[in-house]
Amino acid sequence: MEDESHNNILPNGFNTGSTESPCLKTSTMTTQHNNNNNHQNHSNKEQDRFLPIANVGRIMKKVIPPNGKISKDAKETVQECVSEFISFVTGEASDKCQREKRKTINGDDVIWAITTLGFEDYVEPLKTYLQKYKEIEGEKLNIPKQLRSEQRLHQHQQNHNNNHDENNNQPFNGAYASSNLISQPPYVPTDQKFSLPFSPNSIQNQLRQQEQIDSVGHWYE
Amino acid sequence: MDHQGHSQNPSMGVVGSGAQLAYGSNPYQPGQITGPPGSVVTSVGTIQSTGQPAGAQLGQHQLAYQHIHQQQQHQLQQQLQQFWSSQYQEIEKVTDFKNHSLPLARIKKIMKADEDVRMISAEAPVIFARACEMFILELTLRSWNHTEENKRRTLQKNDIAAAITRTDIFDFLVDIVPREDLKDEVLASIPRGTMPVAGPADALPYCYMPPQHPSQVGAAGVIMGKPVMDPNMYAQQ
Repeated sequence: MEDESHNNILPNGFNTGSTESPCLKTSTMTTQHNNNNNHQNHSNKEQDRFLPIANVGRIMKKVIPPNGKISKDAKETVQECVSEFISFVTGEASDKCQREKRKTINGDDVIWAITTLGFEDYVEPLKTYLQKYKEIEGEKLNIPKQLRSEQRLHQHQQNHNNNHDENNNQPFNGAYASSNLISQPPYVPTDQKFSLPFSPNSIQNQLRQQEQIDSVGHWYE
Repeated sequence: MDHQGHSQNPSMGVVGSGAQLAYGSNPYQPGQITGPPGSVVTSVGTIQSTGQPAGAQLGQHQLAYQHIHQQQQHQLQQQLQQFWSSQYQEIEKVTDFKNHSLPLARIKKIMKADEDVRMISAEAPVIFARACEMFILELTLRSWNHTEENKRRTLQKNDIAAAITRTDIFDFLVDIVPREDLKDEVLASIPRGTMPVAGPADALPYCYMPPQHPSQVGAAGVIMGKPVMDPNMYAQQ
């Protein structure tokens, strides 16, 4: 009876803990770890062979009871196991790519390798995950294309501006031509024409004045 | 459903080999057997023959231990089912692929450690991040099962060694775990495995392979992944 009672307590504790506490811890640790991760990347290349122990530890805590503890050597062992898992799957995926004369390992190759190596339970969740990733990334790729379209429109406008400049240049040339016309000899005859009408007028005026003087002299006599 | 049906076979086995204590445990694990009748009959027969040679006190002790162990294994199976179910639910909710629980650059470096690897698409490390998280969770869950078996609250290196030894798909990790931790697991298993090792071990593959459906192959894989523990599991069934 004592044993049964003990067993009954554990599952309840596990369920309760996994539902609440780990989530809070996860959200808290995430922020802290980002800084640590950057520091580790900068200072220690040896650790590049493993995933960060803080990330690994945080994930491990998700499936143990809240009052459970994880020794450091256990975390380090899992670090090694994960790197081995990545190399194991990558090797299988790489072999497949080589057989098929392809150079790039893609998501489907990874899932195929995981299937081949016996991790059947992983396959359906990962296929769903990859499908979702492609959908979302596809949407993201649409935005850069729009930006490219806008850039093309901008370049087109620039070309239009250049055309406008050319149009401006032409009137300038026209004005220059007009200037040339002004300086050309045909303008001189215009001056002559202007002076001729003036001379006859002045002569006629002088004649009229002389006639008036004669009239006055006649009356005087 | 098939997997649940399979997990209920051990319960019937215990009842069949039956002391009053075993019969008393039946109400805690109610359910109908959906497996093929032939395999059930075979299993019951084998268990009876195994139970008879044991002495009275020794038999009771082993029976009590088998009962506890069987409950623990059943608990582990339930936890694994719950785990995979939650994985589906979590992935269905994923909308952001920028915040990963594992750094993509580091994953890419580990992939590139293999000289044969030339180019890696952007999606590969993303898939690996998720796969590695599931791997860590499964390995930890199976390891914690061993921690609880030993009445401890701290997950230790030898718990991971035990999980690796018991699980087929983790065979590629055997070289990573020091021999000391493996010895602990082997030594811990020998006493329980001594008596039923010969007959049941030989019969196990024959009994289990033919009647299982595709969906139960995974379950078979799980059981086959526990070569050292097979005798106990088999005896219980």
